[in-house]
Amino acid sequence: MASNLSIKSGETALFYGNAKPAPPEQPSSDSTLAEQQQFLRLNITPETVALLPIKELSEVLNISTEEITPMPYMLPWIMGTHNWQGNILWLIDLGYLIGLQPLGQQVSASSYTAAILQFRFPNTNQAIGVVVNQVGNIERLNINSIQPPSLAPENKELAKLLQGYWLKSEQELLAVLKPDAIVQTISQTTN
Amino acid sequence: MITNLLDSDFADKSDRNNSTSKNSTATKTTIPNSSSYAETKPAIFKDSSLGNRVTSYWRQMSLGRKATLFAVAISIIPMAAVGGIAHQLASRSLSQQIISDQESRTLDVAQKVSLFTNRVVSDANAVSSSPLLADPQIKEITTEQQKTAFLNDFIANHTLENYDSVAVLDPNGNLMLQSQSSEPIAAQENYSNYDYFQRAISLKTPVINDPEIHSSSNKSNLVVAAPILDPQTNKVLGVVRLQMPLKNWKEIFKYVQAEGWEYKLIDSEKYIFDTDESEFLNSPAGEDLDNFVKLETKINTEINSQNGESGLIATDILLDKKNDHSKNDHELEVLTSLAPITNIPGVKSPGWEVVLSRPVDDAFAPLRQLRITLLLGSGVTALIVGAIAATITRRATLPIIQAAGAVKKIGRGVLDTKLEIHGADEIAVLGININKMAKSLRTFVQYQTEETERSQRLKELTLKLSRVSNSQELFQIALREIILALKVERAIVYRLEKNGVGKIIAESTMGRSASFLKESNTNLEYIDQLFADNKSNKVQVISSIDVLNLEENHLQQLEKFSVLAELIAPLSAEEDCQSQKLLIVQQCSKSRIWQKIEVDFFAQLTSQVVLASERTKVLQQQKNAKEELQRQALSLLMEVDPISQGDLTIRATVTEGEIGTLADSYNSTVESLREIVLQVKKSTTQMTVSTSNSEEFAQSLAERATQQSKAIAAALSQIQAMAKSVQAVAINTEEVETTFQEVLKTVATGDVAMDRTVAGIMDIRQTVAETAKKVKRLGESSQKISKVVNLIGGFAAQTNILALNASLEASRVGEEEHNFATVAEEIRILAQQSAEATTEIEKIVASIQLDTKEVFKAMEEGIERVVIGTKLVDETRQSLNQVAISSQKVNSRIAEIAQETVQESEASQKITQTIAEVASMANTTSKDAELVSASTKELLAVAEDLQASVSRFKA
Repeated sequence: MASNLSIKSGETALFYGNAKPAPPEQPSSDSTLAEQQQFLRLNITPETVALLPIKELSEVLNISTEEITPMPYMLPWIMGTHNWQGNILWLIDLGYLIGLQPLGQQVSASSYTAAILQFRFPNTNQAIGVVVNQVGNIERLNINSIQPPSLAPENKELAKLLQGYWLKSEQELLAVLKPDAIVQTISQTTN
Repeated sequence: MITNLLDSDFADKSDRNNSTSKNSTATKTTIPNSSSYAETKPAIFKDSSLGNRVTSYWRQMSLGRKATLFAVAISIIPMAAVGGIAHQLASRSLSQQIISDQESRTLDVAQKVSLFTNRVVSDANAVSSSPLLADPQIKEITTEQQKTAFLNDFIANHTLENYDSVAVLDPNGNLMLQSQSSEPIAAQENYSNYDYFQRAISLKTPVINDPEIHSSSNKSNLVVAAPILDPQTNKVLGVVRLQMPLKNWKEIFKYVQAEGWEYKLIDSEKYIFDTDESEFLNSPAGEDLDNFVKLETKINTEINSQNGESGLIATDILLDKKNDHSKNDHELEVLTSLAPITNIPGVKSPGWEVVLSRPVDDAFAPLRQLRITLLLGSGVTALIVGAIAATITRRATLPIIQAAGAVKKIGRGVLDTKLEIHGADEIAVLGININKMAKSLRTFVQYQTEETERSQRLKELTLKLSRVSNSQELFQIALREIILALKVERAIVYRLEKNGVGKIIAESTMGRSASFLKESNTNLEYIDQLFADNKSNKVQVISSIDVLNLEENHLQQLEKFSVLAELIAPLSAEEDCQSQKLLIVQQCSKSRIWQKIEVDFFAQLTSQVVLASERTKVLQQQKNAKEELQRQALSLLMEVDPISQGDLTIRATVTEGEIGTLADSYNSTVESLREIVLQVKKSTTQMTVSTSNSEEFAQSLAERATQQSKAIAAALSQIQAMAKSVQAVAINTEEVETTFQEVLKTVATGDVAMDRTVAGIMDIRQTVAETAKKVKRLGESSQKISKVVNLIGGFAAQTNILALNASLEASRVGEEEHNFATVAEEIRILAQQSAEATTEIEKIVASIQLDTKEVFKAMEEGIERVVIGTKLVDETRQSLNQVAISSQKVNSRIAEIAQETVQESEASQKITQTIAEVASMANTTSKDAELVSASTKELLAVAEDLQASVSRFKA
């Protein structure tokens, strides 16, 4: 538990660094609908919640461990491949990727929840599966209310992927990830 | 006897007849001798003991009585026999006569009855054959009054017969005519049913009825029915009924009744229709007379054998039942005769019978008289003959009886009995012999008396002589006795010297006989001559002096003393001596022929005198020897007298003989006495010394004894204390024992409580087990719940994902599909909520399962604990039981200890007693020691005295 607490504090550090972010501005009610976007809540760990834009997501899947084919000689956060609608779908452990606790250590579940991230390479329409602990609700927020990361976080991997933070309420501060950055990281490491 | 001799026909009768049997016993008593003799003879062979008695009685009986008895028997037995036979013959003929008499009477009566009846019949016949009734023509003419008058005339004419009535009946039995009558017959009655009527019509002859007694009038009537026949047609026109009361013919029976007979008339059906015993009227004859049938059969056999001739009769003795005055019935034997009345025609067959009977006693009264006369006659004759026989026999046996009496007297000792003798027959010879026998017995007895007297004398002499010691006195006594015994006048003891000189030593005389001793110069020199050559010890018998051929002077001398006969016997057998003593007896008054017996007696007396004189001699010698011995002893005593003074140096002179031996032994005794005295002196000195020593010892002993006594007293007190403590221990032990009993009870109670605890634990165990089962089931149920919840959770997750995808799709499609997205979003939220709910449930279930597991575990532990608890309780119980057992053992041990303590207490009491005894003993010891000390002192004094005494002896 103590480690968890430390992690928790670490997470706080992860998101805020040493300096506490300024309280976000309340989105104005007269903001346009166009500026409003839908994001999906992803619980990377039960405590760490990230948001991904629904535009970039095609489907949420529940994949049992048997359907995951582990691939040897790959990076540790790559869990393996999955047969998704006849195509090879690479599954990545997002938590592991951003330097958090790997999923295998969090739960020994028979199935994982994966959000299929549809990214468009210039040549091909490819997708990867981002495996998280849990998939949450759909949040609607104004893009403008996303605050950019004020300071460079200590976690470089996270910093690469992070778009900004959205302060939903006093208690809740959500990290908004950049899907492009995720795909880029993967393609860099795999290539 | 007479009874036995009677005819067999009358035997039973006589047996039954009391008077007859009485007479016969009377006969027996008149001749007791013969009968008893006759009866006892066979009895000898019957019974041995009785036979013996009779035999002994017979032997004891005197000859006279025997002879008398025999004579009487011989004379009476023939008499009795003749009398018996005569009686038998007479009684037989007499009884036959009596019976024939009765039979003739009976026949006579029968005849009379038939005559009487036939007359009545003929009367009836006369009426019926009267033309008035029989001739139809006359019958027509005459009126009924005339006919009745005829009948009345008939009755009037026959007054003798005394008819009751005469009537005419028509053939149908109806009354036509009737005479005037005191007892008219009933006019309305039809008579056709009557037997006599029917018979009269059918037989066409007059018939007679069986008279019946009318219960109303108690009369019996004789009815004769005569048919009226038509002379031509011989047809029955009617019936004449003639009636007569039966009492009319009582005249017939009067004379038999007067002589004691009873009569009966019996009709054809054997019913009595007339009798003098009115109670048997109209009853069957068998009712009155027992065995009546016997007579009937007798008659029948006679009828068969004689073919119905007249004079049939049967006689027998029957039992007549009498029930007159006294109520109780009795039967009487009657001599009964039965005769059928044969010659009455018209009586219903088999006809009437007449019975005459008379009591047997009356009938045979003459027989009884005859018997009594005979018995009396023969009895008297027997008595007379017996008396004559007895007298004759007595006279004949008288001499023999006299002889027997004489012999008896002699036997009793009357020896001068004499029998008178008559004649010369064997009895006279016997008398002579008896007289002879008495005489010889007398002589023998006299001799025997004399002999006894002599031996008595001899005995007295011996006795007297034995008391005498002096020879002179002896001779005097002997001579006196001899004179008395032999009845002689003089007796002398004469000493004859060898040289022929004799001297009279002693003399005794009887009566006036002169004494030899008083004459100084008496010399019986003739005796020398007699004994000069005769040395034998035999007695010289001199019956007469004249035989001796003595010299003149001797004869003169003897004449002077008037000696006529004498006996001389040598008195002493001193062959070697110079002298010889002679004993002489002399007869002076008359000459005497000496019997052999007297001589022998004299010899015996002499030998007694010899023995006595020898004895006196010996006595004299003994006396002399004794005196010599006394003298010597006296001198010895004189010699040894100084010894008594203490001088032990003196010695007696030893001489020859017994006294010398005595003196020698005396000397040796004195010598040894001297030695002893010396020794005593020495020892006394020593004793004085040692006694003084022992005195000291005794004193110290006394002191020690006292100490011992004290110590023992102390020990005694200690032992008493010990005994007390032992008793206290005993009491304590008893208390402990009671306490232990309580402990035992408590243990038992604990055991019971333990049992209850075990039972409770077992209950708990069961309850826990059941609870565990239930909990297990609860766990299973929660698992099921968890499964279901998982399933729901799966569904919720799936729904969630589906909803998410839907909203994803919606958002991608565009903003237009906003509503759809909202619905999807709501679905997703619902799914999420349900997922959360399931998670909640899952958590709860998990916690339940966890709790259940813990409860289960706790249960199992509980059960284990219960098991352990049970085991523990069991163990506790076992240990408690062991405690109980060991406490029982302890209890018994304690009881033993208590017992032992009691014993110990007793023992210590005994010890106390013993010690007390020891203490008393110690006390006595102490006292004794003191006594010893004292006596030692005395002993010392005694020893000193002794020393002083001993020092007096010269040694």
